[in-house]
Amino acid sequence: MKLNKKSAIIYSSSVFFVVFNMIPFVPRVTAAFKYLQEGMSIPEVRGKDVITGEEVSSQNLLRGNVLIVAFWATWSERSIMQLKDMKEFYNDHPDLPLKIIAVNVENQLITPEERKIIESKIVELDLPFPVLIDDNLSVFYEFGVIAVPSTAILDSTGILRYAPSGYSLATRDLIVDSVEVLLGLKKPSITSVVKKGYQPAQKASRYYRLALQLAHQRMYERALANLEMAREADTLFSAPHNLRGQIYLEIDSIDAAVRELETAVRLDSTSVAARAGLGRALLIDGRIDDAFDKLSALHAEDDTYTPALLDLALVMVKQEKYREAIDSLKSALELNPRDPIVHYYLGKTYQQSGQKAKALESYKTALELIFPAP
Amino acid sequence: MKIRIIVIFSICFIVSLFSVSFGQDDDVKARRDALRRCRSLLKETIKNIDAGDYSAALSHIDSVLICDSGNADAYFHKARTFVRTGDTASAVLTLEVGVAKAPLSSRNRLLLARLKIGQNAADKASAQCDQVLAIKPNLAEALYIKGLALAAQNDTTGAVEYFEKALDSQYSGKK
Repeated sequence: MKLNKKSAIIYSSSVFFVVFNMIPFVPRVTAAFKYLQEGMSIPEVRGKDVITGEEVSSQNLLRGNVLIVAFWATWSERSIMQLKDMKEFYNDHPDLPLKIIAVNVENQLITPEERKIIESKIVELDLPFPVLIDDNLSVFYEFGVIAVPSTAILDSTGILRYAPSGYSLATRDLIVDSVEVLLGLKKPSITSVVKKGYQPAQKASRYYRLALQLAHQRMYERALANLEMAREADTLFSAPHNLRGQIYLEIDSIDAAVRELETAVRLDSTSVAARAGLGRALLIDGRIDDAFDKLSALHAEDDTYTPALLDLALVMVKQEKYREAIDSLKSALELNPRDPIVHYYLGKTYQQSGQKAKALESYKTALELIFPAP
Repeated sequence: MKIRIIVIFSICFIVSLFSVSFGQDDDVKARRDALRRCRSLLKETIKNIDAGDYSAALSHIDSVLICDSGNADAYFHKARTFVRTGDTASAVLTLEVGVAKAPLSSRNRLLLARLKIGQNAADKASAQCDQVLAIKPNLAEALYIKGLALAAQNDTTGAVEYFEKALDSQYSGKK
């Protein structure tokens, strides 16, 4: 069919208009967890329900159900919003094979007063699903939670399919959409965020999980050995390379870190954690412009990944772009207002830009979080 | 004959050694038992504090101090219990005794410093921090509380400097 010039302009403008308006709805890369990605199974979440005292286990709840694990805290307004929305959805659809666990990640050490606040909030919300308290934040660290709230949505076989960090009206809609897709109530559309992800070999997953635990305990040599076995068991599994990169950064083997993280990104270009890790490695290596390119590209796709926001801010400070750095750090703070590292770097940025009073406040906040009053 | 004398003498010597050590053993054993009891009472105290049972905590702590009056941890937890119940004055008094009995305990000095800031005695707080920093110059918590004391005395520059040192020492090598 031949078009005349006028029709061609109208036609192409219409197509452009439709595509342009779809852009906000095209799913972006997001990551809620540093050590988990879509396609992997999650560590088991178990504990006692705060209200009933019953033992709760994610493995038991899965059994053919779609499972949502929501990380929340009483000091996070968005968490409370999310819990209320989840309660409404759950109550409106009582017959769906859907289970939810809410995991409170209030603090590293929860005082009796904080526990009372958490319990009274749970009673006030009157949630129809189990709520656990993550004492010592062990589950928090095992998942590598980046921000609060963060959510893990698993299919009925226990595989992670969507993991948003933060919460907004848009996130709510995406969570509902992904649950409906996983329950088979609708087909995935162009705007669906449910990812198949790469499912690693079970043996590789086991070695990886063990390596994670060893790395948390700073037993890096053994962690690296297990990661090597994970890599041998599944050469296409990118998470071990990401974790190797993180460990090499900890032990100051920057060249090795860059190599491993580049491999992780090559194997999975959607891995936010690996891309952020690579940006960080380049920053530490002094390759500021390369770090800026990587991190700003990632930021354009996912502005909720706190470690990348932090590193981007550091790069901007080195480039003396203080205002932009402060904006980046303030975004990171909105996602996790109780992260002392963010307050620390905000303080440093204020100080370097000559704002001493603001630097004092930021430093003080960071230290109050690290050394709370007894 | 000579060999017999040597053997008998050796046996007597060995037996005498044993009898001396058995005599000492009773005292050592008693002391060890007392310390073991103190440690388990202290563990109970910490559980009581975490559970919010402050009167039980104080009762256990006093028992610890009876058997070990120089126990720095006992003073710390006693003060912590008073802080939790809002009795800052008693906490300060406890820590002052604790610091005198166990001057090397940085934890007690730093908690005392915090409480002194709250009592508008920032100069005394600063002095306590200086005592700790003289031995542990990079202790992040001591640098922090020193910074708080300076901030309370309106020394913003000094406070920023100490806060920064505290955070740098906490996160050294991270970035």
